[in-house]
Parts: sequence; structure tokens; C-alpha cells
Amino acid sequence: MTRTRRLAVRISSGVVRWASPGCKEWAEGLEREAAVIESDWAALGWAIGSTRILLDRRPALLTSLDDVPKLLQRLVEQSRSGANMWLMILYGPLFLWKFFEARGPFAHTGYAIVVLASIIAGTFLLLERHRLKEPWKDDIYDDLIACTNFYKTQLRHRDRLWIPSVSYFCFCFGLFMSDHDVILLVLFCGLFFLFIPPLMQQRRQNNLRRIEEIDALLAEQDGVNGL
Amino acid sequence: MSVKMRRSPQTALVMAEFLSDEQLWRYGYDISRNTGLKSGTLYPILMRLAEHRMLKTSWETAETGRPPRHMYKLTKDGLRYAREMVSEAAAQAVGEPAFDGAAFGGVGL
Repeated sequence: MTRTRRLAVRISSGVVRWASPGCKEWAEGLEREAAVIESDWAALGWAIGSTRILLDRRPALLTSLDDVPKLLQRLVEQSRSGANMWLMILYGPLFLWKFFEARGPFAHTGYAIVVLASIIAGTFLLLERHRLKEPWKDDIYDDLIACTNFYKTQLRHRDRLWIPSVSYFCFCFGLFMSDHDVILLVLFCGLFFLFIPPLMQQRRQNNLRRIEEIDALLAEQDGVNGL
Repeated sequence: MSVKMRRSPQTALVMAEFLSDEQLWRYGYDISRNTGLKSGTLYPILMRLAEHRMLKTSWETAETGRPPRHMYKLTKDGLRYAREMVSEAAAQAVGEPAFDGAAFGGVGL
């Protein structure tokens, strides 16, 4: 086996290993194709192209409604631990004091942004924490349809998570601005806009996919019950 | 389906390739060679088609000493969409006529 071929094989198997659960089958398909390509350079080109699949992070396909309670439990736990960040609301008064002490319009604006962002994010997360407490009963796990509907509602609700994300961005932006740290400010904005919007978009698409999978399984179940 | 299906020229190429023999199961590399699309462009298209239930996937039955390959074929919905898309693409390539015969008593020009 030539060095080029070895590299192609190594890349392809790496793609299979690191592909997200929902893309595993496709990554394996790509790997098998690379193995049948006769030209080593063409195989390497194929393998390099296949790395694009690593950018697509999607969960494994939902094949049965019986998996929904487990998924719901994980989702609620995640949301609850995320909502614990409501404590950032306390930063509001703290930085308000700094706002009055600050000198110069740059620092004033920076602290004003920090105060507003911490109040908005904290309030949202506090409400979220309260919302997750209330309708939650353990017996929902026993009723598969109720559980499935609740899961769908939670998935739809996650679209609103852009509010604390943007507030958190503003919070950090304001902090760097008040410190007159232009390099950190530019670096932070660059990294944020490079990674966060695509990640949020992917999460949103995954939620939509999941809802569609559930709808398809529910329709299938209705069809079976109707027969 | 709420996850968008893009009508790109590359998707039209893939669809046209599937339409060249509707009943045949295709391998990824063959589609790539015939359409000139790289694996990094082709597979996201195939994945989107499968997601929209327009593409069926299957693993080839294993031959001795060779791992099975992944194969693809359009579903009924996929075929319908492909025909529509390819004819649209063809119409765009030819260009719209300046005026049609209907305006002149239905006489085709």
C-alpha cells in the first residue's frame, strides 16, 4: 500500500470515528467508496472531501417512540443545568455601581451594556428555571403520548435560547469595551460570529428534524392502530 | 418538511444522474464520476435527499473478501421531484421564448 493510499485510509477511518451519530452510516459509505477507487490520488481526494461530513453534527435517527422518555429526561436535565446561570442577574446591580463610577463614554457604554445584558439573560433564565419546575411530573414518563408531546414542546421552546446567547455575548462585549481592551473585543467578536450562529442554526435544524421524526413515528403508530 | 431542500444546480445534476436509469441502485463514487461532483459536495446532497425521504439507501450484499458498499436509489417522491427539477433546469437552460404561439391563435412556433 502506498503512502498516499495509507493516508486516504487513515482519513476515511478518522471520519467514520468522528462523524456524529446521525452521519455515521454516510461516513461508512464514504469510507467503503474510498476503498474501491483505483487511483491513490483520487482516493485521497475523495477522503479529504469526506471530512466535510464532520461539520454536520446530528443526533442518531429516532427509530422508536420508546426512546422518547430517555431523550426527554436528558433534554430537561440539560435545560435545568443551563437555567442555573440565572444568577448572572446579580451582576446587574454590581455593574450598575461601576457604571456610575466609570469615566469616559466608552466605559459608560460598556457598563450599560453589561447591566442590561445581565438583567435580560438572568430574567430569561430565571423564568426558564421556573417554567421547567412547574409542569414537570415524574408520571409523565409512564404516558408515552403525553411524554412525546411534552418533548416536542420542549424542542420547539429551545428556539428561544437565542435570547440568553445574545445577552451573554453583549455581556462579554460590554466587559471588554469597559476595559478598553480592543484586541480582546475584536478577537471575541470574531470567534463568536464564527462559531455561535452556525452552531445555533445546526441545533435548530436538529430540533426540527427530531420533531419531524416524532411526527412520522406518531403517524405510523396511528396507521397501525387504525388497521 | 420544514428543513429546507435547496434547488441548486448540483442537486439538479445528481437528480439527472438518477433519472438516467431510474431502477438502478447507484454507488456514491459512480455518481461522483458521472456528475463531476466531489465527495464533499455530493454526500451532503444525498443526505438531504434521504432526509426528505426522496432517496432510499441500502448496503450491498457482501461479496467474499470485499466490504459491502452503500447504494442509493430515488423513491417515488424523489423521482417526481427529480423530473420536475430536471425539466425546470432544462427550461432555464434553453431560455424562455420571446412569445409563444398561444398569443397568435394557439399556433406553435
